[in-house]
Amino acid sequence: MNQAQRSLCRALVLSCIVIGYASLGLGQASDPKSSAIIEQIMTAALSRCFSTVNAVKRITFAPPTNQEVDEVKALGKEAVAPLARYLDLQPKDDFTQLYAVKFLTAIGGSSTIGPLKRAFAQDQWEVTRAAALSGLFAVSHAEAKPYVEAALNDRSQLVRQRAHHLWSLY
Amino acid sequence: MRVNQNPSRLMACLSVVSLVAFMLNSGVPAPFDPVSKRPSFVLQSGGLAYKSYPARTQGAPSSMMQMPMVIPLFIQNQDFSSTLVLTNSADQSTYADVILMGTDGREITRRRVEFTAHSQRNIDIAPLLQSVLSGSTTGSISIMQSPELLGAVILGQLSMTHRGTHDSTYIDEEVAMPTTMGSQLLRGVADAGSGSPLLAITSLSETGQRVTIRCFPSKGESRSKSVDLLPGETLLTEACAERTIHGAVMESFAPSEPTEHRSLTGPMGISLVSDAKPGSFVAFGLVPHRKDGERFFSTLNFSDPKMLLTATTIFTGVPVGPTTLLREANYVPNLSLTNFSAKDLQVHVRYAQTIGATPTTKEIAALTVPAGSSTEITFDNLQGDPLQNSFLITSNGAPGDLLSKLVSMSGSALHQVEMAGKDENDMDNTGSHPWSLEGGTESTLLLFNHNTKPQSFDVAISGNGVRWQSTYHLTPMQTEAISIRDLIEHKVKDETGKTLPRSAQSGQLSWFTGAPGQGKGRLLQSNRAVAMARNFSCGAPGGLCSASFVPGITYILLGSGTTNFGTAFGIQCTADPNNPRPCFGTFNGPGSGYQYNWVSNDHNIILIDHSAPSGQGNAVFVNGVAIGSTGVHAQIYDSQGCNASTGGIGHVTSPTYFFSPSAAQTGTPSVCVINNFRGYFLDVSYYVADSSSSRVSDSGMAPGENLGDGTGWHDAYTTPNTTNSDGSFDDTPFGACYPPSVPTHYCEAGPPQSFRLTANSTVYSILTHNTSRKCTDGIQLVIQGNPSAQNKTYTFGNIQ
Repeated sequence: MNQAQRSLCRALVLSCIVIGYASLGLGQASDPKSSAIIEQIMTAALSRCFSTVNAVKRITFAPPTNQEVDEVKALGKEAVAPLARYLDLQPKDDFTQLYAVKFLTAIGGSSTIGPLKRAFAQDQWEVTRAAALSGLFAVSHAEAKPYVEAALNDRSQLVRQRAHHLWSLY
Repeated sequence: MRVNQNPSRLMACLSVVSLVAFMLNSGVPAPFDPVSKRPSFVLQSGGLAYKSYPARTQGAPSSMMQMPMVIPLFIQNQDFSSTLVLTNSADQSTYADVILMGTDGREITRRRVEFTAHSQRNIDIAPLLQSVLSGSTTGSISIMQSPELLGAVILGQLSMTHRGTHDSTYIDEEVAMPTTMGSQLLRGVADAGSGSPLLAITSLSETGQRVTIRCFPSKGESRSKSVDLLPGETLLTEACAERTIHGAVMESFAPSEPTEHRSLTGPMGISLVSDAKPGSFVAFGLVPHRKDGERFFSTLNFSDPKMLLTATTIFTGVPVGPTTLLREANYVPNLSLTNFSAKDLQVHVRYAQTIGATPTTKEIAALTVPAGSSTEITFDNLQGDPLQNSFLITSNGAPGDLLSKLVSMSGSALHQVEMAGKDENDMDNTGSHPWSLEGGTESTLLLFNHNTKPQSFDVAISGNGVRWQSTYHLTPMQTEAISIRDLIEHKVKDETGKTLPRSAQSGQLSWFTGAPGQGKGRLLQSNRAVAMARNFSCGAPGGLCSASFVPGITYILLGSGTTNFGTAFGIQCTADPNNPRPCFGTFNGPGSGYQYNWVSNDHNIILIDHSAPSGQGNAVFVNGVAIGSTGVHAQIYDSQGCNASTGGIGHVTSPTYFFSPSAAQTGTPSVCVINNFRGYFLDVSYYVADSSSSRVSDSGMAPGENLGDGTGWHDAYTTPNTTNSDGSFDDTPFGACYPPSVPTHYCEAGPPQSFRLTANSTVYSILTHNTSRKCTDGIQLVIQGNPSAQNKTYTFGNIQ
């Protein structure tokens, strides 16, 4: 990723964060320090998705590093609200939302149930939705059950397949 | 004759098992089929998933014939109403047949009563009589539980209500079950009343018999009379007066009550001796009282002295002083005693009072009761907790020589609160009672540990489809009162985190102690508004009869440290009262207080690390020593000599491969679309397999990937971040997209993927490794390093 791409990427993320704050309103408070750390991690992760090899650009989903996961888990519940804001970014790039879901799943616990339910909404990418369903299932089988059951007839084949698999684990 | 080991009840509320064939008189069903096999049990309690290989239990039940439970007297007229209250303590649906008979022994009607697991049923007698247009107002009731059941599973009593001029009084008549193991003698004690007690004597014989009735008054000589009892007949007679009317109903005695019968009488002991074989009759009595012109009755229960094991009688949860659960008044214990023997007896009365959870015990009376006489003591200066008080009455006579009756008297409309006395070593170490909160009724479970050691009581409360289970630990001589309303309203969690729903207003309650002679329990249903107090203290023997195993992690990763293999539960059964070792019967549910010994069949594969209590069960933690499979099981013992075993097969594995059952194309992410990039993305499903290609079904394992790009290992690259319980996970989105500047069909090699797995902080190398080819209009993934059958190539679109 060259300097121009990085600047574009960072600008995209930052603008989305502002929109996200506005859309989520004051309902989910978080301390500025946690938000700044999450922003830094999300920016770094997303930037790795853009690469150039032999002068050919490509976009791939680069998994979060162990260090990034550890830092987010260290923030614990403080990271939930900042991560949740990324779910409502407009326009969605899908990778950002998927990162948010993966980090929320890594945190775990009841505080992530709400955001994970949000990530399962129809306006998300099917890969994000399937990941949110798995994350919800991992956090609480009972909370996930109505969502898994509903997803058995989801319009996305990927989500349906995931739901059938999870349903078999009840 | 075999009766319940209950000093103040005649064969109190025992159920339907006997060693002998039994025939009622004409109009009564023929003998029931022998029980010669174990029923097929279905465990349902506690929401536990009982998964195990078949549990081993000791002993098989002997072939037995059924006997009915009998209620000697029901009254249903303008003054009395009767409701039969039955409970099912079994963890399965079942039924009982209820048969009403007139005083002449003829069947009036019968009704099959169905039960769900752990439930109660109330059967009003009036509609049963009306359904066959019967004019009968008096008779007896026979109850036969399903022959598929083993042990005393269906228990109950007749709740009678006497409508007085101003207030109603409440009479509790527990069911009796006679057997041939007892004697031909029954004894009971009536508290001081107003006139002779009225007896109902029910013949269970197919031949006539003569019964001699002897009264032991507090003053004067004892007197006796004899009555002839026809086969199957329920005979009403005044115990200590002359009137005996064959074929009589309750109304036969009420209107012409002679004046002398209204005179005050002191406590009275009554013995009944039959010339027929043991088990040929049962009896129950009503003691008339008059107070302020109001007529009411207390109960007269009988027991067989041959079946008593000690000379100590225990009364649990006796009201002392004022209590908010009962009609506003000062409650004063009154003890009636009869010495049926030919020698004077020394009697000691101990009072165990519990304040909070701290018990104190003191002797409150020591007296001599002359031979063949009765006496009473009123404890009007006693201080106590409203309900957490228990009494122990001990004599130096043989068991059954001295019998007692204890009531709490008040000056309110609730004249007396009655409770059943129990023999100290009563074989019944379980109780099954109905509870209700309907119409403002309160239900309070009263437990008493009369042992010298701390004692655990397992309590299970069922209502509205929920079974709430918890263990109460009582110090020696502690009485504990447990309000069911409080449990519901305060959302008290049981040992599995369950609460009783607010919608539950009635149900069945069981309690259980490890062995007989250690604890007692009863349930008090009370209603302050209507001055009601009812006692439920039916019980049965119970013991460890089976076991079940709830597996934890049965695929143990080699070198991964201590693993929770699973939890074993000892299952308690309601047992046969006639069997000295209660090690089989009908499943009641998990019990506690058992000893667990865990064993590995092969210590070279799985080593037992330690075990620990887990809820009502016992969990075992193991270490995998070498790859292989072996059995791990618990041997479970109770203090009565019963044992059972259960367990499962453990597999020690080493994660070696990631096998992929499928892959699917996903939608293109927006980040590609908005930049006009083109490409393919996949969702690749995997599961973890061991070196023998067996699936490692375990959750919480973290697959990691390394792309060889210098960014190191990524141990949260999958969805979800760790494996599901079947060892599965997904790698998604796997793919790439490329800008418009490249040709329409453009391909390049993806970075190679290598893998590892982290579980319990142990990192395992995975032999699986992938290569890929990613194109603008297609994608290919090549999975290698597995056994050849599990190597796969997924191709989507154009990858040439």
